[in-house]
Amino acid sequence: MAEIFEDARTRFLRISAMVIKEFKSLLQVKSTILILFLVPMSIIPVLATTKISSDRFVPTIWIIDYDNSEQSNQFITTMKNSSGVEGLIELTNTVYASGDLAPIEPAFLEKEAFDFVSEELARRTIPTKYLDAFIILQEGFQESLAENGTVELIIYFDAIDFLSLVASEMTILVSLTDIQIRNMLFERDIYYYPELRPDQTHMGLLSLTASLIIPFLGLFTMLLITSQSIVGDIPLKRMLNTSLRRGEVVVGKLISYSILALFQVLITLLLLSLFGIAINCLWIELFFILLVNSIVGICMGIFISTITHTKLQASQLFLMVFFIMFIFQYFTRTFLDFIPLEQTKIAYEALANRGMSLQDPIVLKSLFKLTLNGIFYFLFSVIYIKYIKKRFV
Amino acid sequence: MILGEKWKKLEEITIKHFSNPLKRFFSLIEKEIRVLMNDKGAMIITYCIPILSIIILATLVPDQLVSDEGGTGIGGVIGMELPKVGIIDCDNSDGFPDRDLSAEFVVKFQEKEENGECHLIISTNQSELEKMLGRGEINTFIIIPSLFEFNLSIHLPVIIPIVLDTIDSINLMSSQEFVEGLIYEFKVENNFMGVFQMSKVHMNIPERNQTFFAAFPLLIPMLIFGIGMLTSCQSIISDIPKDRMVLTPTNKQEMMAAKVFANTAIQLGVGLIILISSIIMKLEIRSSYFEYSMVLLILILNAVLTGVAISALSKSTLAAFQYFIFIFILNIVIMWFVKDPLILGLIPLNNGNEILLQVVLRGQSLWTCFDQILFLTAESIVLYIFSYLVFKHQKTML
Repeated sequence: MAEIFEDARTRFLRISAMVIKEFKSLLQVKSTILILFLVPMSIIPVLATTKISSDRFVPTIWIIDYDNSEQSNQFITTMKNSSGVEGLIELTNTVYASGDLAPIEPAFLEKEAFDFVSEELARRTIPTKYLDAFIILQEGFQESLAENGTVELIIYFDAIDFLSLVASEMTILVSLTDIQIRNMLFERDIYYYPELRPDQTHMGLLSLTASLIIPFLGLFTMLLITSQSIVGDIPLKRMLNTSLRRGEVVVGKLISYSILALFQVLITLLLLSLFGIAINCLWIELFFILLVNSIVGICMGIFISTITHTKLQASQLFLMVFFIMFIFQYFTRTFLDFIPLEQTKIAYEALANRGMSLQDPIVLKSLFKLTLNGIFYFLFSVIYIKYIKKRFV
Repeated sequence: MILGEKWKKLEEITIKHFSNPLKRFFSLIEKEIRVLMNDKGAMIITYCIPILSIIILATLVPDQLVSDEGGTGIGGVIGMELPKVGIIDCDNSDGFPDRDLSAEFVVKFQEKEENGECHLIISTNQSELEKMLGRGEINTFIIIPSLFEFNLSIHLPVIIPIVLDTIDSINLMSSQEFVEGLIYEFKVENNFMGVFQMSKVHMNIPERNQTFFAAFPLLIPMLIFGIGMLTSCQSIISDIPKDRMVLTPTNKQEMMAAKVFANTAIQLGVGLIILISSIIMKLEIRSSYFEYSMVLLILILNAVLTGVAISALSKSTLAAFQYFIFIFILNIVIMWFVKDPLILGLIPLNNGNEILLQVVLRGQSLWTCFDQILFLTAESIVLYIFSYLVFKHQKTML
């Protein structure tokens, strides 16, 4: 029994020494510590002070009028004056109709160029940024409206830029509704009206993006630093000739970087509080989730550092992990159980935005997956460094 | 005789001032490339990053993003998860003989669920659905209003409220897209097309690999800046022999230029992979491949110079990596969320995104992106001068 206690005591002493050594070497490079805290301290205020605006999505729409009737002119005038709001987006547009001079792609050395709107020009201009969509008002527009109460509109959309495409479609839909209301034109149709829960129209950018950005900052900064922790540790090779065991290296690194992460999470939460971001749960619960997120980042970083042989390899592997996680989370939406960022996002949303508690099954499930990810990387690092890794710096 | 002496002197001057420095310079480039290439693992990962990213985008996401029926399909890019939809039928009105229109509308949703396109919860209690939405158990719910059938039967439009969960921002668009598409299908089937019967034509979109096409202007600058900056941010700080080299005729100016050249040469490999992938993936570009290559070269140079500047500024390799992550994340955040054109003009990622979109995908001339090219070039020059000055005034170990 005494032997077990003695073994535990010496192990504790060795790990403590390892943690102290790690801290000392980290504190020697003050810029490292500064940047670690500078990342949240600069990005959070940028987001907190930025206002959402739809100015970047003002689609340019041309109307080619082959009817030249009173109704078609009325259509064009209403389209030109139309604006509205759908969901979070304020919709405005720039409309040019047949006979108007519209901006087109300038030739070399020309600052700007204009030409008269026509179908032929529209077909040539639609791939460029100078035109997002064009509507053809066919001959008989007025007649069809008067006789049938309906009329066919052919609308050509530029689909190269998907964000502009979404904005153009929404703008045209809102404008057409506007025309019908103003001219009392009604026919069988089904419109939908989006109601937002919670209504985010007056929320700041940080409130909207906190669940994505905050876990992202914590995970990736810790992942990057720790990806250099073993591969860049020059005294480690000599230290392994002492009584220090290989597995203890991983534990020591994990503890020291976790303490660093603790301060980073605290600063992040303080900044969120300072900028008045609504947190509908206990602060300690959010703190816990973000700390687990950072610890998983540390485990992943140590794992990268363990399996690589040079600092450059470790940093490149970090970048690969970053891109793969980014694509899986935002584009393919696959393997989400293995993406710690997604699990933290779910837990963050449930706690901070939906007002749930840590005991809630949704949060517990995410926390469980997050912890499993961390344990996997930790165990793999211990196994690798103990039984497989032969080369140290 | 005199002419011969003069000629000899000229030759000596040429060797002293041009030939020797050039030889040194090329040797330095060779040395830098060798150092990078010696780390085979790192180089393999460097070149694997774009290949893997493009393969994932090409194989794991739907090929078709845009359809001329219904919505844009953009939700499909951002979220492929099945939307969880709730529905309440509040309509008891009559209008069409032998038909229950609201029930038919609900059946349409049920069919989608049977086809595995959504998870459906049919309810009669709005509070229950509100609660589920608040807990994130559903993404959206639809209320079929009373007089739905009656209004349509007397040729009047109806408005369907759709309640959306905005907390889950990733799935917000895909669920909205799903409902929009379903409503459109129902309208077409029943000829409820309203006053303006829209025929949408989506132009300039390729038939295949639409996801890669859509992600291209965002992902490619991120790949180039990420890989270029990260590799070159170690070029000065981790170069230990440089301190001894200053004792040779090599000067810091040559060392600096060689580092930029070597790193650019390595990054050209990444550019080449992107070019070849574009050809293999049959990416429909409207520019020439020469223009496309020029754009990639401008982006690569800027990325390398930013990395070299970070390296000159850093006091340790870890600090260099930290600066890298700080600049990279700041670039991404500003590009996504800040709208000020002046600030955006300073962000290389945004400029890269604009040039690739306007020149390569849209086929506009390079002249139309003059501002972005100017910003990138000016930034590159400033970064080079800055890095050189910092590097020059750095104290060496010796």
